[in-house]
Amino acid sequence: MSKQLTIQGLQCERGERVLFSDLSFTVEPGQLCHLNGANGSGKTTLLRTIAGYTLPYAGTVSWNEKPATLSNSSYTQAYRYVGHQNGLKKSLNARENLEFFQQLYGLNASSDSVTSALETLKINDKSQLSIRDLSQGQQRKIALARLLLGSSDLWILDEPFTSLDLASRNLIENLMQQHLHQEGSIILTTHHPLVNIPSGSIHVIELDRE
Amino acid sequence: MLKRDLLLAVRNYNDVLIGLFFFIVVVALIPISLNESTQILPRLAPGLVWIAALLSSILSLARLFEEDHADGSLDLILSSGSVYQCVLAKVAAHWLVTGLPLTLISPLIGLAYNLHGEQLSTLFMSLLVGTPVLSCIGAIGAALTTGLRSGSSIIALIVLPLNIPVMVYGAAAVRSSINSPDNVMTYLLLLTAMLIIAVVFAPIATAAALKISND
Repeated sequence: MSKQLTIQGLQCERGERVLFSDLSFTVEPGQLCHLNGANGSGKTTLLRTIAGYTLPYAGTVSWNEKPATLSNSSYTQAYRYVGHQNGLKKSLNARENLEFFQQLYGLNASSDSVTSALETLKINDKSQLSIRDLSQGQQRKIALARLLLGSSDLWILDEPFTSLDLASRNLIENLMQQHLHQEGSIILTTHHPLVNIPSGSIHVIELDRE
Repeated sequence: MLKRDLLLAVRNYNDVLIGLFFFIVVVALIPISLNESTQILPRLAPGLVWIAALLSSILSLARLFEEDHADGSLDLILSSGSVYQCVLAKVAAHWLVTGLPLTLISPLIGLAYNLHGEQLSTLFMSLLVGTPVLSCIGAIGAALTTGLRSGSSIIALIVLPLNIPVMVYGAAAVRSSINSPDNVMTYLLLLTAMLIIAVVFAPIATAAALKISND
């Protein structure tokens, strides 16, 4: 079965304002969907709608031709969401935070896979410090380490490169590239140019069409 | 989840102590302010201790989901497929750090209110069975108000009326241990029935409310 994300006739509102309407596109395996748009054009709302946190005003989001909602557990297990907020507990350390996410994702608690995720992101030496004592960029990397826990088909990323230095940005882009190679798909917003990902696999969606 | 919340409570132990001290201060202030003779205290004790327990439980409810909402981890909990278990674990952690300590010191409070033997154990038992219900019902209110600016004051308005039955039976159990000890078991069993219903159904309502609040 193809792991395809389909957005059909989607309309979202914030307050009383229509952010976008009649939005339709698909994200195929191996494809990166880059949402483009000015501040306030509804990028975050669209990502939260796709993840099922916000309900659309009209239209549907589907995954493998089934409704992509929070009650569809085969969908919620298939994606990893890294939003604006990192979702980390400030008084716990990186390892404790990631072990909690392992349980949340229904994975077996394994400190090895936490270690390897932290090593991949070159942050393992900071794993015993509480999140409060880490820089914004380091916190961001630990949030992104969630992507490497277990396997997932769709990455939903809201400004993943915020606070990251150039080396870390390249690192994350390489991980994205690997994910696309393994027939994974990605939908993201970013104001940083994607330099390491072949433009053939990038699909740009413009949100401010008016 | 339970482990995480308890770990958080240990790291932020101030929050836990505030609830407990609030309870102690309220029950200690009332006899001082009333300046009544020790004869009347046992009659006041059931109601007062239960009201203080209720207020102390509500005091910490605002933080139940607010922090998870603010730091974004609520999103991840809601899409985890184990929302029910997570909510149950959070409620259990809330009770373990608010209801349980208060229950454990209640015999001391009872002694201060001139209660004896059987009455002390009834006070303890009624709080042991009743305070988890307060946490369960409170969680629904906390979930409904998560993300609202004036959430914490609205929680009290939602939760206080819903907790009246628990308070009535909890206080009645203690009162009957003073007046008619035969009825104590009836009230305690009623409280237990409430506890079972609350544990089974409140997390469902809480999870549904969280999905709405976390828009």
